[in-house]
Amino acid sequence: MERRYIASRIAQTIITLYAVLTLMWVLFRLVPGDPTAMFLSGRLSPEDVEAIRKLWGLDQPLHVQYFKYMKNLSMGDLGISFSYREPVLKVMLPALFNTLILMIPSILMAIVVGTLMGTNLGWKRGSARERIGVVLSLFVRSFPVFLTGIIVLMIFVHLLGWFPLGGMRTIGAFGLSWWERFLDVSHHLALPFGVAFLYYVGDVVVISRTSMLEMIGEEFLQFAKARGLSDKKVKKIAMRNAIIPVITYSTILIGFAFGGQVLLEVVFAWPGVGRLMVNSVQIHDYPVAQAAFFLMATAVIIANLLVDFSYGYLDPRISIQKR
Amino acid sequence: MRKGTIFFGVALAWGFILAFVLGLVMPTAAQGKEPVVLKAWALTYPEPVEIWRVLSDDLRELGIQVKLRNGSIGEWVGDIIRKENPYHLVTMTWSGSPERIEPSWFLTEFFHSSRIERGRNYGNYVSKKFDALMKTQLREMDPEKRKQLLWKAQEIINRDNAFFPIYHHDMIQAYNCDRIEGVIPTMGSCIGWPYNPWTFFRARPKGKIREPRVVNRKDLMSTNPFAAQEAQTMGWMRLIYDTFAKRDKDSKLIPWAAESWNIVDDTTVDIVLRDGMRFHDGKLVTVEDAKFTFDYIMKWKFPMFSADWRNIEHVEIRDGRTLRFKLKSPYAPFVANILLNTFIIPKHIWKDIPSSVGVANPMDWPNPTPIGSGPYQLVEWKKKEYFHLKANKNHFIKPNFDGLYYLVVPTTEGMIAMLEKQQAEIYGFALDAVQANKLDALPYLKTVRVPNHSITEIRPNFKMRPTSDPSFRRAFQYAINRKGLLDIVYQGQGVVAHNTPIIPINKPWSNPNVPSIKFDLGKATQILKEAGYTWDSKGRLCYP
Repeated sequence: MERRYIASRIAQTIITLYAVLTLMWVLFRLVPGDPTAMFLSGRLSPEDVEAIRKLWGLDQPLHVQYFKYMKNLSMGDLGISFSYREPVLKVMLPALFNTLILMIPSILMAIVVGTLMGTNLGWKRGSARERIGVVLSLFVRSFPVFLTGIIVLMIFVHLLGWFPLGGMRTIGAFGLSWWERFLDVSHHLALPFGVAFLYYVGDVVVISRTSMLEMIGEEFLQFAKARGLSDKKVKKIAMRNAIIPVITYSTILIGFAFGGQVLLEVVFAWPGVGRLMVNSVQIHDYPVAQAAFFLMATAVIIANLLVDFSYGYLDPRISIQKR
Repeated sequence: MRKGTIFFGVALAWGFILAFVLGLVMPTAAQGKEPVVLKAWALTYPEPVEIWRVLSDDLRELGIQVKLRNGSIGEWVGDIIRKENPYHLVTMTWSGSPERIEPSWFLTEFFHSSRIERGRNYGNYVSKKFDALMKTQLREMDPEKRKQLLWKAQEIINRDNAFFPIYHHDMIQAYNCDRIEGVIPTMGSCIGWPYNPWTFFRARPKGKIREPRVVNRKDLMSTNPFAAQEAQTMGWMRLIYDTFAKRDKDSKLIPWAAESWNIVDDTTVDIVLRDGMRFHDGKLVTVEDAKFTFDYIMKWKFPMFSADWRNIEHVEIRDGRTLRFKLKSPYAPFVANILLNTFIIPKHIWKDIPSSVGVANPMDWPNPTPIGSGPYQLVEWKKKEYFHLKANKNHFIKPNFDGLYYLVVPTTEGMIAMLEKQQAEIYGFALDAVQANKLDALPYLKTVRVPNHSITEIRPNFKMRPTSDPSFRRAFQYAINRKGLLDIVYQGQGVVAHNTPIIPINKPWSNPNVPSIKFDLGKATQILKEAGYTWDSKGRLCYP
């Protein structure tokens, strides 16, 4: 039974991915505009533009383009970027790496800190601390990242001068050891990391608090109390049960991390995948745009799949056998 | 309570239906004269939006309604160029890239009938006489006679009011004057763009920083000079690879990798290669490399190189330093279009490309370490982050900088802050007047303003009423407050356009007898009246 469930979930996932791919392929071609725009605003004559369309296979009927794309993709070939004239993976991987070293630490930190804060707030229901905590987390959450980013830049860069303006490293620094390079990147990373953390932590706090509140009335907690367990131990039991919605939420967050945070990347000049994605949509670089969205979709869908599988392990009450 | 809501909803729905029906019926009910409504298109940028805000106010005075649609460059190409242009008026700013200094570029691209189908003549302008003149001037190797032909062509455009030029705005950039001295601004490139980069050739570092940092919003797109697709990347490639000719700081054509050129007859040109040039890997640049480059371009027909190069019949080596070009037909912009844009590639590297690197077309080879003979050499490129050029001290121009860093900063605010915080030395993007004044206030920053042969223009559609009517177009010219628009959009930094796409300072090509039309709504009204246009009771302009 268990195995059949897993197999069917995987099959569903594959179908979903295929649907996403097709939908994206269609959507990008529905966007008004033309990938040869950058040439026509330049020096090329109409005949030359036609030659480029032919080189890129855009002169073929749409269904032929579609099947070709699917065929190449199934062999792991994402195509060649229209604008960079390089394989898509070569363009995308460095950007993805940059995005992940920013997003993964800040999301993980937000999850750990947010869960601890949220469950504590929930446990201390009705106290002044709880009220302040909730208001504060909603406050940071409701600020858009670019605004927080600009405020942080104003304070820590323009006023105090503690951090660099943006980018990933000090340009022009040579002969650094790996340790110095690590410190340099960390120095550049600090501000965007902080802003991303603030942005994500609010949701986690609110979700874990709510889920903790739901636990409070549960019978198994009363039973634990009745057994004479200390308040600390009872809280621990409640927390273990309360983190399930947080886990659902955070796996999806990590999935979305693969798409980067465009606004954050723009404000801090971070060379990540979000900027690449927006830019390639703007200039109709279909291969790169499709690959970037595909990657993000895959990450989210797989994250969902993992969440489903992990439920059974985390909470034995959730079972799939009696369906 | 619930009943009230339902009633309100129903009433609202009926209201919408009624308004819709009325909207359909009303215009036809007012039969007889049809009011003029213009469909206009402009980019979603602040500049064209501002232009239309002012212009539509002035047009309202004339009783003309405007329906403006804003879109992207992609939409401009997809809907206006590649399909039948559905708008009466299309607004565009054409940047001052280097090939556009050549006087026939704008004229041909805007108005030649061959550019209607999928080209930039989306105003559908046709004039047999104009076409003939453009054909003759292209074959006229005598500059004086060619000038006369181009002047005549501009008179036709002026007479027909084939377009509505607005202004040529200045280009403003800034640099750190504590750290750099002797910058050389050039038309269309200012100090930070690579099209005509005399600053990178001649400016000197003043302090510790020997490799100044240029900030820009756009990243390099490729390091393969044949795949370079947009003007900036091409510009940087031409800093790494030497071209045969260059423009000097006054935009005049001067010898570069070619020591001289000689027009033997109408279809034969000889060039002599400069002696002693070396590629970045130390090998000598020979006439073999030069010939190989032309053969390579003609063999592979790279899209970025085909239009002008198609005119070359063949290239032969005359002696150790001389190359002879045989042209299919006389071609006046040979130096300006071909020698200026062709760079020399090393034969020892490119002769086996693409077969040795496993791609079908040389354009698909990334060319990760470009080896040219130019004044700068590429050392490192991190996409969307920066690239680093080292000066080639063996080059005959002997750059004073030790190198250049080019930083990609995605926002204008970020770029400006980099200069303010002295984390960059040259502002390589375009500043507006307000930003420039702000930077000028800092003691260590200086701004530079140069005229730019770019042009902002509105193109009327000759296939649609009323822009097909010569009187309407003439009246429209008077409704454009060119000086006012330049003042509002660029704080007066620039020159108002004369009725030609060629900026007046592009001498001798710009026709000095073509006037700039002054803003005069009274005159516009009078022309419309004389042409039989009337105004209805609501003050709307109606067709005759």
